[in-house]
Amino acid sequence: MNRGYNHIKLDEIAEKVQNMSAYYAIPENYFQELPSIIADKISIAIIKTEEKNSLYQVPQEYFDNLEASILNKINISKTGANTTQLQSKTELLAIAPTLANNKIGMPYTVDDKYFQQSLAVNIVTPKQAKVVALLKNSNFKKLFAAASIITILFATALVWQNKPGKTIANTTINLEDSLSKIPEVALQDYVQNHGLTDTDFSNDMVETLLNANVEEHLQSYTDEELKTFLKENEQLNNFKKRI
Amino acid sequence: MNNDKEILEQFRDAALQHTAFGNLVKKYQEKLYWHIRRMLIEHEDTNDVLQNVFIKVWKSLAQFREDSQLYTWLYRIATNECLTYMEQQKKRQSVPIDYEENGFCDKVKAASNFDAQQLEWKLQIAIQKLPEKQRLVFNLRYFDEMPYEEMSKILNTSEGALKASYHHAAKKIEEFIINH
Repeated sequence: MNRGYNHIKLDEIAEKVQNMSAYYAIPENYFQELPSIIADKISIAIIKTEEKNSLYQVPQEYFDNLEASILNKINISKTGANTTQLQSKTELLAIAPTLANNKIGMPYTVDDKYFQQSLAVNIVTPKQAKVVALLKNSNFKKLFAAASIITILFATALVWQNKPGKTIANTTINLEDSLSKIPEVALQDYVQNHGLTDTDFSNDMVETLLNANVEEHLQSYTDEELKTFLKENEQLNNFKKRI
Repeated sequence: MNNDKEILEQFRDAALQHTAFGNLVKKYQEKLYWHIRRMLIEHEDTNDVLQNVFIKVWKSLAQFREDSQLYTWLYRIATNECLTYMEQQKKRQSVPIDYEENGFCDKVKAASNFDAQQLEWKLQIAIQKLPEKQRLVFNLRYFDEMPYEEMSKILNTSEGALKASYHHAAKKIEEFIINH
């Protein structure tokens, strides 16, 4: 506190200024009292400031974050963000300032084209009807292929039997219908008798069989092969009519 | 972009149903994708769940009564699908209780562009260390800046509880980021 120093300075000034009273009228003892009046006012002002500071507490690091907080608010209002965003920012600033002051994005990536392909199309377009499970056997694929072979061969053989003169050009066998008429036992026998293994059956094979064309198959077998097939599979003759 | 009311009106018209659904998917696919991705981390899982979400939406949109906003309803379906998927995965893998934390952290670390020093990845690791519910709340508030009122409808939890959850989650994450 410099109250003593102020007194000395102001006393010196007062003495010098006293001589000017001839020009301007001043209250009596004004300059004698002035230093102490001013000193008192300064003291009161200092005391008031000290009182203010001690009465109200400022949160720790308040002034460190104040600038960032205000800038954040300005930026948000500049970009036209809504109240929720502002609230969310302010809230986070109070809980986790580091997190709030560094808007951290997502590090994951996704193919640009992912959102261009319409998910909706996949969902609303009815999927192709599945082939109804004809057999409850775990070796379904094997038996299905066997059944297809039998059906095609029988159909082929029938066409062959009716030669010459009769040809079934571009005739597609109704496999699904025909397959349902062949009993599972007969199929299992066929698979066993012909020593067929898993490697003989593939998805491609099943696909090919489903699109089979009798005329094409007829060309891939010799007359002798078809005659042998009918002879070897006499037990299946019962189903020939149905096919 | 169509607003939700228009989409719903269009959907009720059989002739415009597919168009309306297409618009709905276009409008919400990205938001829902990221909501799910933040929980499941991997794109393949996210894609599976997102498709299931939209299939459910397609099947039940006709019954949507507009008691809530469409967007809230969609988020609710997505969240439930997400949680169910996570539950199924946990059961299938029959792993220890701490799998949730370690399993998801491992998934984050397995990302092709993972960088342990990068703040974005640190945040992701910190998020995976949170309990499931806190993770959901934190993601919705921090990334989507969703109001608690909306969140309360989606997660069926009181606003107060959500605020507390977010508070705990943000504190834990802040601590993790500062110390790692």
